[in-house]
Amino acid sequence: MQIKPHISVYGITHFYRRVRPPLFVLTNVCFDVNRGEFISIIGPSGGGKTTLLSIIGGLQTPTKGLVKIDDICPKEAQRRRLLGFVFQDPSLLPWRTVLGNMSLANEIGVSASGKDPRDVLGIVELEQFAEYYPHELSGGMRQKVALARAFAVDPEVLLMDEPLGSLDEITRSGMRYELLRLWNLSRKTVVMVTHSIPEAVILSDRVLIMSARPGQVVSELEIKLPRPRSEDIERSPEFLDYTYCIREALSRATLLDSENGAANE
Amino acid sequence: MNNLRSSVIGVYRIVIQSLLPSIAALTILVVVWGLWVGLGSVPEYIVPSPSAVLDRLVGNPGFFFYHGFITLVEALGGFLLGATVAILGATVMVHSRFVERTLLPLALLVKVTPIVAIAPLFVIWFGFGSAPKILIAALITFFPVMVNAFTGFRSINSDVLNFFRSVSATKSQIYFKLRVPSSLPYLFAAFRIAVPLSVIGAVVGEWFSGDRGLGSVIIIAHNNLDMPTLFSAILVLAATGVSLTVFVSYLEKRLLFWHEIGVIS
Repeated sequence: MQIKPHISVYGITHFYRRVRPPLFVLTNVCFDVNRGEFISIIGPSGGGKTTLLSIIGGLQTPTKGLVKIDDICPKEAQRRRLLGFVFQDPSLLPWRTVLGNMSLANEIGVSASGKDPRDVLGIVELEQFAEYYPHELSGGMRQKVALARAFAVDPEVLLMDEPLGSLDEITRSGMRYELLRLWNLSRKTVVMVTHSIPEAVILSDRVLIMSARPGQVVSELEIKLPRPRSEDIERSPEFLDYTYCIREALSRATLLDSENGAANE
Repeated sequence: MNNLRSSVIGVYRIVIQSLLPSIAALTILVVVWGLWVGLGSVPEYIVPSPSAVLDRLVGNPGFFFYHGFITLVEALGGFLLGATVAILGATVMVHSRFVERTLLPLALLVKVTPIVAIAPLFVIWFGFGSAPKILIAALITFFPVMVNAFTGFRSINSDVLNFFRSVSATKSQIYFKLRVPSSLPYLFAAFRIAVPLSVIGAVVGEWFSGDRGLGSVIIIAHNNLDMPTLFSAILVLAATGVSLTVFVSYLEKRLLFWHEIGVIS
C-alpha cells in the first residue's frame, strides 16, 4: 500500500519578472516528503533553495506549481500553526529574555497548543538561562534557543534554512547531535536546507541534490544509516560512501550547469 | 561592604572620567571670560563680567525660574505634540505605500521651510498665548521624529519578520511586538536631536509675541541693552538644554539595555 506523503511539491517553477530576461530561480521542482521524514536539500548557493523553502512554508507564492501539506495549501497550514521555521540567524528578539522569546509564539497564537517553553528549555539544557537576554548568551546557545522555540510551537512540519549555518565548526558539529536529539523526541517532518554534506548525511533520511540556478532536483539519495545516530557514525564506511556520493552528485550538478551556460551563450 | 566600596569607586570613576574634564573646561572658559572683561578691554554693555551675570541670576532666581518654566513647558508640550503626530504618521506610512507617497513630500516641505519664516504667521493665526509657541516647537520636532520612526519601523530583521508571519501574527501584533521595540534606537536618536530643537522652537515663538518665557526676556533685555539679564537667560536656556539631553540619554540607557551589543542577535 502506498503511504500518503505529508508534503507534496508539484512542479514548482519560480521566476522574477521584474528583470529582463526573467530570472528563473526554480524550474519544475517535484518531490514528496513522508510523515516523520527528515529531508535535506543541498546544492550550490544561489540555486533557489531558500526560495523553495519559503514557498513550501507559504511565505512566498510560486509563479507556477503547487505545494500541499496534508492536502491543504501552505498558507492554510500556517494559519492552523502546522508549520515551524528555523533560520540561519537565530532571529531572537533582543529585548526579550530567553523565556520571553520562547513564549512569543504562544502570545501571538489564539490557541496555545504548544508545549510548555520551560520543558523544552530543559531538553536543550538551558533552563538556568531562562531569564537571560540573547546578548548574554553565546552564538551556539542562541541557536539552541531558536531550535527550542521552533520545537516548543510543536508544529507538524519544521522548515529549516541552514539552521546551523552561522555557527563555528566546533559548535556546529555538537549542535548537529543536539538537533538530532530534539527531533528524535517528536519525529516531526523536517525539510532542511544545508551547505554541509556531513550534516545532510548525519541528520537526514533522504538528501535531495539541487543544481545551480535555475534550481531543480537533479538526484536524490536515501541515507539508510540506523537510528538513533551518534557521533560514531561519522567513522563508519557507509558514512564516507554517502558523503562521497553526494560530493560526486554535486560536482555533476555544477558541471551540468556550466554546460547549460555555455549552450546558452 | 565590598559592594559599597565598588559602587563608591564607580561613582568616583564617573566623576573623574566624564564630569571632571567638562567642569575643568567650563572653569577655564569662565576664568578667561572674567579676565578678558576684567582687564578692561570690553565695555559692560557688550560683554558683562561673570560676576555681574551671577549677581543677576542669584539676585532674582524667581524671575528666571518663572520664565524658564514657561519656556520649558512650551518646548516639552510642543515636543510631545510633534512626536505623537510624527509617530502616528509614521505608523500609517509604514502600513500604506499610498500614504507614504502622500505624506513624505509634505513632511519634506515642512522640513525645508525655515521655522523662523513660519513663526510670525503662527502668531497671527494662534494669538499671543502659549499656543503658537507650542505649535512651532511641535513643527520643528515633527520631521526628525517622523523620519526616524518610519525608518525604525521598517528596520526589522527579515528572518524575525518571517518568524512572526510563520505563526500567523496579525499586523497589529507585528507592530506592537516587533516594529515598536525595533524602532526605539531610532526614536531615541531622533529625540536627542528633537528635544533641544523644541526649546529653539519655543524661544523663537516667544521672540515674536507675548511677554512670558525666556525668549521674550531675551528680546526685552536686548532692547534695553541689559547684558547681565540677556546672558543669564542664555545660561538658563543652555542649562535647560543640557538637563533635557542628559535626561533623554538616561532614559535611553535604561530602555535600550539590549541595544549596545547589537540589535539583532
